[in-house]
Order: sequence, then structure tokens, then C-alpha cells
Amino acid sequence: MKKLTISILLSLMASLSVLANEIDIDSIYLDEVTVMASSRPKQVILPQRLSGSELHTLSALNVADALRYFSGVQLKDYGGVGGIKTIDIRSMGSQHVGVYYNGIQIGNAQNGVVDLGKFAMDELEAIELYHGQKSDIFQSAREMGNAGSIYLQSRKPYFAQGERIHTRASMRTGSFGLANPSVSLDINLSPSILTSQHSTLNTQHSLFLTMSASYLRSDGQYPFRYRRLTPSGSVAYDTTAYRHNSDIQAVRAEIGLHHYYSASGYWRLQGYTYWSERGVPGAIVNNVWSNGERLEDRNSFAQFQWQDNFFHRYHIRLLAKYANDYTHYRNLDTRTLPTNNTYLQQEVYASLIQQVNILPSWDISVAYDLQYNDLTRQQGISGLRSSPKEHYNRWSHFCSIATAFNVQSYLRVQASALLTHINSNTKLTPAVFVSLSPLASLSSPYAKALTINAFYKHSYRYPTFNDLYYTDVGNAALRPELARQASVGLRYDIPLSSSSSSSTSTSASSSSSFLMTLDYYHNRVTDKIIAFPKGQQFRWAMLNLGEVLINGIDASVGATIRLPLRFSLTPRVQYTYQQAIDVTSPNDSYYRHQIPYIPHHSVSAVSGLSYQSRRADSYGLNYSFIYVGERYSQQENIPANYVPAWTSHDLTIYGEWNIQTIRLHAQLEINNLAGTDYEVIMNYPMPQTSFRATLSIIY
Amino acid sequence: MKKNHFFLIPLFLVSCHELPVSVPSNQQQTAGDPGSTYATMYVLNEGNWGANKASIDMLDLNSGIYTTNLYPERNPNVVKELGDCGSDIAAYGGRIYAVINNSHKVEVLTPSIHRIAQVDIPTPRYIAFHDNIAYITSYVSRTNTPNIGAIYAVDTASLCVIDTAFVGPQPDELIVRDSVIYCTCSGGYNYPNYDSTISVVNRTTMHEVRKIIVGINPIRIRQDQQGRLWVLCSGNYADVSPSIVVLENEQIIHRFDVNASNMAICGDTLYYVGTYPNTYGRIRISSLELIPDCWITDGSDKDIQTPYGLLVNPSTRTIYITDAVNYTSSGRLYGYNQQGQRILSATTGDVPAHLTLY
Repeated sequence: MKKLTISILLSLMASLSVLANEIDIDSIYLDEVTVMASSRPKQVILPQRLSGSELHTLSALNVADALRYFSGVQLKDYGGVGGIKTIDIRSMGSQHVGVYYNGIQIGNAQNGVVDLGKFAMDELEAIELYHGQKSDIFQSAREMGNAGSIYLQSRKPYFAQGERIHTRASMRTGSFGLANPSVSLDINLSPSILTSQHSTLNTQHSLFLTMSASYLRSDGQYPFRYRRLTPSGSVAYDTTAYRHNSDIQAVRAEIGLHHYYSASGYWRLQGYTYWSERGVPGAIVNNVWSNGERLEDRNSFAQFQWQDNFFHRYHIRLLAKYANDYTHYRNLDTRTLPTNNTYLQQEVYASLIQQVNILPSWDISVAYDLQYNDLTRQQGISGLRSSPKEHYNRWSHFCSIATAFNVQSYLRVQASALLTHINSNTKLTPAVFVSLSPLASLSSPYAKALTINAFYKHSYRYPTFNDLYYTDVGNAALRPELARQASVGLRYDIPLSSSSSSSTSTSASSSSSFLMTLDYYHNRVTDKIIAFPKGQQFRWAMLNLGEVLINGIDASVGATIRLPLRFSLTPRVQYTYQQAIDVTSPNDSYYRHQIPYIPHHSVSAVSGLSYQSRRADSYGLNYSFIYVGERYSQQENIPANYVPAWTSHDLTIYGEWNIQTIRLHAQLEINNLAGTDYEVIMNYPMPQTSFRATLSIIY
Repeated sequence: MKKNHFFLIPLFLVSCHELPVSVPSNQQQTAGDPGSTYATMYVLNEGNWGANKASIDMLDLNSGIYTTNLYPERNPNVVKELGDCGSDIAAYGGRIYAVINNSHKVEVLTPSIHRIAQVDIPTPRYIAFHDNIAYITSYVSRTNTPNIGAIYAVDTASLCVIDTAFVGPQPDELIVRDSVIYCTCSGGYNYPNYDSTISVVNRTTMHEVRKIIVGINPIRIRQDQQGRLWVLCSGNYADVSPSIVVLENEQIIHRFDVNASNMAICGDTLYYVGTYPNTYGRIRISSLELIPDCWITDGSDKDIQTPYGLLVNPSTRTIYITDAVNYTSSGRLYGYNQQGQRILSATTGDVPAHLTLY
């Protein structure tokens, strides 16, 4: 109590630079060159973010691994390199999460879930997590349609003065027969090379070409151990086996052309393709230690974005995308149904976003998005039949109107409304974001650093093609599932020394800072779409049945601390409490029980110690820790469904050396240091201790 | 000080790492079934696909004590317990046989649920016995072609597979007689084009000798005291509704178009249950008379969500019915007397489905 009073008193001594600092950070955050005419920061509530060296020195092979360090997130991981990985934000379900790659959503109209294990870290510069939506009104209408969003931002090219070509090659190897080479090549095609690393924001007339490719293979064979104790404490059984059918091969290639043609105008064209063939590691059940499901995926897309502003008041952005996704699923286990299914999906998407600054402190925007999806499905049984191709398509329209204003530097408000028309179903969803800096007028940075924010939002999860048309199961009368969120939070973000450092800088941060956040949220999901078995022979029906009530707290504390002798320390701890209970019907035996796979408590911590030499060589040690509390695998919170808590300790050691014009980066990761045997999903064992080593050369 | 606390959390949590404990059995007191000549009823709970939650519950008919999840406690050393997706349970020759579909085995147990042996059978479905041989239907024949099912013959003394017969696709329930085996062929893999036959297998040669067309998607078969066969055809869940077909000398003598998903015969009465909507009906066997009125008379059918398993105790004529509820949570077992009044209830494992008396 005393402490709280002191901090409030401290806060009362004030100054003005935090907002300015936030603006600065924002403009680096966003993949844009436009500097807004108003002095208003773009986002009302800042996202959770991992970027730069903090991101790359995490012990993480893919985006899913990195997302474990965000608060309010639960990862569903079926184990190993090839196991499917999806996330759930604030317990609302994976299908409420939107995943955006360079600002455009990655869709999956078939099942509505994006496998985050597919996205490698090499080419990423930042990962951001927004609760509700990105609270920036200059965004596409579709971006306002999710209950939570993840933004993956690919690496932007940086050229030293006079540099034309920038190359990077890396090789990663490690446990489970991992081999993962990758290369990238950036070419500066600008007529005059004036750009430098720190001036990209205001660069005029620069044209870059970026290319990258990677290959990944892993045999996925790892030992796992099942131990059970009897209720009296003696060992019931203790067995070790190898995970089979968890192998993967994947190839990824990307190309991008970026043109900054004026102080405000910019366009980018991007192509992406990914192919993988993998085993789907099945459930380990009695008498079954391997299975035969195989999955081949091919995901390709091309996307374009252009933006500019005119008359200092009018901003325009255009987005367009074509995506083509192919999935081939086979079950080769001769003891079970020899399924052989192919799915081909296409998506065409376009969005026009316009924003006008009415007054320096007041903006409005409108956006319209049009989306076409189709799915061609052919389901068969090897050796028995091949069904005719089935074809489904749908048009979706999204239209949004949004406004944002601020009252001096105290209050920032954003309100938006999204009109969605899908499957002849029209829904209007509102969202309001508010941020209050009560002490913004004081001169003390300690006072200014405090913001109070809140949001309220509705969003719908639309039935996927699978929900609607799954053989004998689909229910074309399904309604969309509604999530209502209310959240209120505190953010205390203070730079402890004057110069604000770019978080995209790959070198150790040169200033100290402290960030503390605390959020409380209350969500309600209604009309939840669930699969309900219908009669004998496990015939499932999709129904709008289910209501979930969620109360949660996310808390985080992080700091960057400059130590003597060019050392710096970056501790960061997050804690999440979630009560997510099923309130469908008081007649259910699981009424008010915690929903499956949502722990009450989860904690993650990352502590980095880095050292930078006078020659700008750097060395670092990164320790991370994850704790996920006990959960239940099914609706009833009974001993038969109990999934124990697990912890994982990971360690990364890295060094980076400058040798003439070459930078060399070497990194060693040790995952699950204690060799804990655990499961994220019941009967899907996770690997014990594993290693990864990476060597990168940047020229 | 506050910060120090935060950094202690990891250390605290490391020390807390717990080893999983196998799920203990649990007892409930029920009214039992006094006067029964059988001492015990076993309930096999299917559990969800991939959940490894098949379990065996036991009702002591005299004392009324209902014990759930006996297997892990009686067989603590069996890795990953009873297995995935219970499919059938039966008593024969002083032993209990539990068919575990997705663990690809038949578990042979003592009446106290101690393991005697495990017999590996791929994707087994139902079990029946004759002359000390266990016959097990399987969706997988040796040829690995999904349009041919199999019946495995297992010698109950040696517990070895001694023969295999190839039958129609995805065979489910079966009746074994001296000379022949009748087995329902559902063709469930080939939806919506289900099979509609019964395979007749010569028990000596173990060859399919003929097929009898009965109706779409036959899954259950019973015989009455006159030796007639009663076959439940599930229909195609679209335009063809379920029906119960009566066969005499392999000829169809009657077809009842009733909403049935399970049936049980006791004396001159066949009881059936169905879902969508929930149905509890009867057929007078000797007169082939349908009595569609709900045989539950005390109104307690209102709290049965999904009628699933069905068995009548011939010695007391108590009717046992299980409720699979939503298939993803604990089910219920109910007992009804001949007047249709509930006399027993218990909470079971997930998806209680198969019942047997011993």
C-alpha cells in the first residue's frame, strides 16, 4: 500500500517525452514510411512485441515457440518439429485468432486455424500480439474482425551507406536430425545509394529487392518417457519409447520488391511459397506406439500493398492478395481407415483503406475489403473409393468505419464499427479503445509513463468450410460464434535514460528502461460452434451450443538494465491467470468447470545478459523459463482428465563478431534443460532435452 | 523485495514438478439388483478416440456397490492402462474379454479385472464365443483392403489366433452357432454407400458361404428363443431410417421401421432405444407386435440425454440403459424394473456403451 502511494506520488512529478517516445517506437513498429500529420500516436494500446536480437536469441525454431513468451496465450503443441502448433488468445479459441504476415491476413477457410509451426524465425523482424485488434484506425476492415491478432513482420532490408548487396547465409542443425540451411539476398536497386541503416524511415526513391529461401528437415525421432505412480506413490510403470512418424521436410522461398518513391509513398510486392511433407504424430495410446498419418502442404501467396498520403490530410492504402493452398492428407496405417483426402483452397482479397485528418487531433477512416474463398475437396479411401470433387465457395464483405481523437495528451480514444457480410449473414461489431495518461501534463517522466487503457469489443468467428460442409456433419445453418471482450489495464513504461533506442537494432540496447503492464479482462463467448456426436458410429454434428465465460489477469514486468563494463541485462517475466468456465447449462456435469487445456496459472520468463565489446562484437546468454499450470483434457475437471503442470528451461548462448565487412553469428540453444517429460496435449509427448546450433554469416 | 519474489517463482515451480498418478477407482453405493443370479455386471466405457480412456466399471449386483475405472488399479504395471476406444465386453469360461478397438487388442481378464493376457487383433469390434473359441470381428482383413472385413478365431485356451474368415466390409456384431456364424456388415467406411448384408460363414471351413440382404447399415444382431435372428439396420442417417429386421431360416419375415440404435432381448420382449428423438420401445417377439410407447413410466427418461448401451438381466428382468450424455464427459448407468421405474443409477466413465453379466 505504501509502495503504491509512493509510486503514485512519483508519478505526480511529471514531464512530456513519453508520448513522443511512443510515437517514435510506433513508427518503427509499423511497416510504413508515412509519418502521420497529426501528433497523435497511431495505436491507442500498444501490443506485446518481440523483435530484433531479443527475438532471435530466444530458444525458438518457429513463431509458435516464440509466442509462448507472450502473456494471455496458450500454445497447443503436438510435439516435435513436425507437430502442429496453434495458439489460443485469452481462452477464446484458436479460430478467433487472426495471423497477419506483413499486414495481410493468412487465411484458412477450410478449418480457420493457422499452423504457426510453419513460420520460421529467420526472416522475421518482429512478432506482435494484439488483444482485441490493432488499435490503429488506419487498417483494413478485416483486421478489425478478430478477437486477437498476431502480426508477423518480415525482415526489412537495411543497407549501409554505399552498399548494394546484402547477403545472409545460415545453417542450423541439432537434435532430431535437424538440418535447416537458409539464405537471403537483398539488392539495393535505388538509382542513388544514399540510404543508411537509420534513415530508412525518411528515405526517398529507394528500391529494394529481397529474396530468401530455406530448407528444413528433421527425422523427428525423439525419446519420450511415460511414468505413472500408483496412488500410494510406488512406480506403476516407467517406459521409454521413440516418437515415430514425426518427420518433416519443408522448403520456403520468398521474394519482395519494395519501392519508396517519395517521402510518403511506398509500395511493396511480395511472393511467398512453402511446401512441406510430414508425418502427423498421433496419440500415444495403449498398444499403439506409431501411426501412419501423412500431411503434405503447399501454401503460396502473392501480396501487394501501396500507400501514400496527399495534402497532409488524406491517407490511402491499398492491399491485394492471392493465395493458393493445397493439402493432401493420407492415412497409411493399414489397421485404420485408409483415408486419402486432398483439399485445394484459393483466396482472393482486396482492401481499400482511407483516412482523413479532420483536425490535428481527430481522424476518421473507412475501409472496405472484399474476399473470395473457395475449396475443392476430394475425399477418398485408398483401395475403396474416391469421392467426386466437391466445390464450395463464398464471398465475404467487410466494411469498417473508425475514428480516433485525442484530448491533449491525456486521453486517446478510438472507436470503430465493422460490418461483415458472410454467407448471407450480416453482423455489425463495435470496438472502442481508450487510453488515458492522467499525469501526462506533469514534467516528470515517472509520472508521464503511466497509462490506463481499456477496450471493449465484439467479434465473430465465422463457421469454416469444415464446419459447414464436413461430410455428413456439416450444418449449413450454423451461426457465427460471438466473442465479447472487455479489458482494462495499466501500463508503466519508462525509459531510464534519455536516448530512446530502436528496438529493431540488433546490437545490445544502449539505454535502460522499465516496463510494467497489468490487465484484467472479462470475455464471453456465446453460440460456440462445437462438434456434437450424433448417434452410433461417431457421426458428429456441428452445433451452436456452448457458452464460455472468461476472467483473466495478464501481468508483465520487464526491464533493460545497463550494467558497467558494457554489459546489459534484460529480465522479463509474465504471468497469466485465467478462469475460463463452461456456462452452457447448469444441467451439465461440467457446468462452471474450467474449459479444456486452459490452465489457471501460467508464467514465462526470459532473462538475457549481453556484452558488447568496443569493436561491436557481442556475446550473450539467454535463459528462458515456461510454466504452464495443471489443466484438464476434457470438459469435466475430474482426475481422469487431469493433465499435470509442466515447466521448461531453455538456454541460449550466442556470439556475434565483425570480421572486416562480414558479421558472424553463432548460437547454441539447449531446450528443456531439465529433460522434463511433459505433454501439452494429452497423449502427445513432448521432447526431452534437445540442442540446436546455428551459424550465420551476414555480408 | 518484490522483484526478488518474482525471480523465486521459477525455483519454486521446478521443485513442484509432479509425476502423474494413475487414476484411482471410485465407489458409489447404488440399490443393486437383489435376487439376481448373476453376481456382477461389467460396464465398458468407450472413451473418446485418441484419449486412451477406455475403462471398465463393475456393479456388484448384490451389494449395489458400483466401482469405476478398475483396470489401472488392478493392473498398475500395464503401460498406458486399458487403452483407446472400448468396443465390446463379454464373459466366457470364467473370464472377461474386453475388446479395445483403437488399441488393436482383446484384453483377457479375470473376473476381478486382473490381466491374464492380451491378444493383438487389428481394429477389433465385437466378440462372441462357441466351443471354447472366441470369434472377433475386425474392420481389417489380412489383405488390407477396406472392402473386406474379417472374423478372427481365437482359441480361448492358448489365446492364439487359429483362423480367419473374410467377410463383408466393416463387420460389427455377430452370432455364432454350431455350424455357421452370422455377422453384420455395416460398410461404415464407405458412407454414404453402406453395406446391407449379413455374411454367413461356415464355422468349420471359416469361409463365407453366402450373404443375406437385410437393409442398409446392419450393425446389431440378436437371436430369440425360437432361433430367429433380429438385425438392427442403422440406415444411412439421411433418407433411409433405421429398422429392425426379423429373419427366420435366413428369410426376412418382418421389418419394423423403428427409430432404434440398440436393442436387447429378454424372454418374449425385445427392448430397443434410439436417438433423435430419444425413443424407448418394445416388440412382443412371439406375436411380432410393436409396442412403441415409452417403457420408462416414471418420467425419468427426461434426464437421459443420449441412450446408448442396453442390457436386460434375465434373472431379474431389470433393464439397464446407459446415457452417453455428450460423449465427452462422464456417462450414467440406469436400471429400470419391469414397471419402467428407475431403481438404480450410477456415474460411469466416458461413453458407457457395453454391458455384460457374470
